[in-house]
Amino acid sequence: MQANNIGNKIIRYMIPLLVLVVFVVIMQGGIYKLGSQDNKNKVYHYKSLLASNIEAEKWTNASADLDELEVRWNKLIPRLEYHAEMNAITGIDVSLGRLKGFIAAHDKGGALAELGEINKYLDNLTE
Amino acid sequence: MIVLNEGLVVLARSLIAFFSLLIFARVIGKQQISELTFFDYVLGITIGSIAASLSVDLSSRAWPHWIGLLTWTATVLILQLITLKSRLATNYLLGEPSVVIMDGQIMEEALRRIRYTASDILEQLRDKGIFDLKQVAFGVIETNGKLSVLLKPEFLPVTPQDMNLPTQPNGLGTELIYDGVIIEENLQKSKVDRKWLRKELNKNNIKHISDVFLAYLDGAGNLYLDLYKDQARRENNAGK
Repeated sequence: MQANNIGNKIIRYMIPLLVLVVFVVIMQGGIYKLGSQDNKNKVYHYKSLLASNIEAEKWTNASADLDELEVRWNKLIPRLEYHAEMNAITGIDVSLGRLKGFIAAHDKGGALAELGEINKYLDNLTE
Repeated sequence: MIVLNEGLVVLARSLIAFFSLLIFARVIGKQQISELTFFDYVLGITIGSIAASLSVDLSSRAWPHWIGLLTWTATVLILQLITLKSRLATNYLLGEPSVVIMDGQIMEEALRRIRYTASDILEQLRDKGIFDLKQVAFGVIETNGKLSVLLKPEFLPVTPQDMNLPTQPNGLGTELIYDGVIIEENLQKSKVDRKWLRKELNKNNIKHISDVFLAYLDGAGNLYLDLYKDQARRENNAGK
């Protein structure tokens, strides 16, 4: 009887505690952090490739890298959006759009500035 | 073009807000509702507002809102613990009851201190069915803003004790049948059994337990029966 009471008490306290822990994990980016590393790594990989191609003014390669980066980024969003600010996610989307324009115009300064902004957003989102 | 699952995110965040609020409200306890002071009222609105932001404000992360919710709850809990331990802290943090009527006279100074008007007091008196201030021996404004009144002895209602009338013992009632189902646990608590219950139902021409919506045994041993067919409502002294 007493053991039953203790068991009930543990369940009574453990369930809400467990629920709160799950909430903390979700809000602290658990879905993103526990998710597959592939897309995360690919986003950073294509971002650095893109940076080197812009620096070297290889615009055709840069355009291809940007397309790949966009594909990887879109796959990453569903894992990020449960803990991240929507404004930051849409901010990256807008920057990618502008970057496309700068690459098409072969504007190195503008492209690097957009890339810098994307870096800041990504740091904030994935920290 | 990115596709954001805003609906799904709001759903997830709303569930987090809802269950966090439920857990935190349970931690704060019943004091919130039963002793709602002005501060408690504002507190409730603030905590609710933070939970609402946590649920639908996608312009910021859920985490800072949740921490806000946690901080407010933890602070309330700490204050509750302090006020439980220290009477001095209770008086300082929650205030003290103020005597505003004494021997039928309004205490103007006390009213000024708590920023109450005479019409507020009269309104609260009328709410309690007291229309003549002279009937009041003491009137006290409690910390939750409600007026407690002690009438002068000559205006107090007569009780059975005053009249030396015998009374039946009362106590907490127990539901024995709810929605056509016997609650075995309550039968045991009330020290009656199914056989006794059947007999009582038979006395009232009730053939099936499933016909009974509510069977309730009060502290004096009276069985109250409410059937699904409402004309058959009856009361029977079970005489335990």
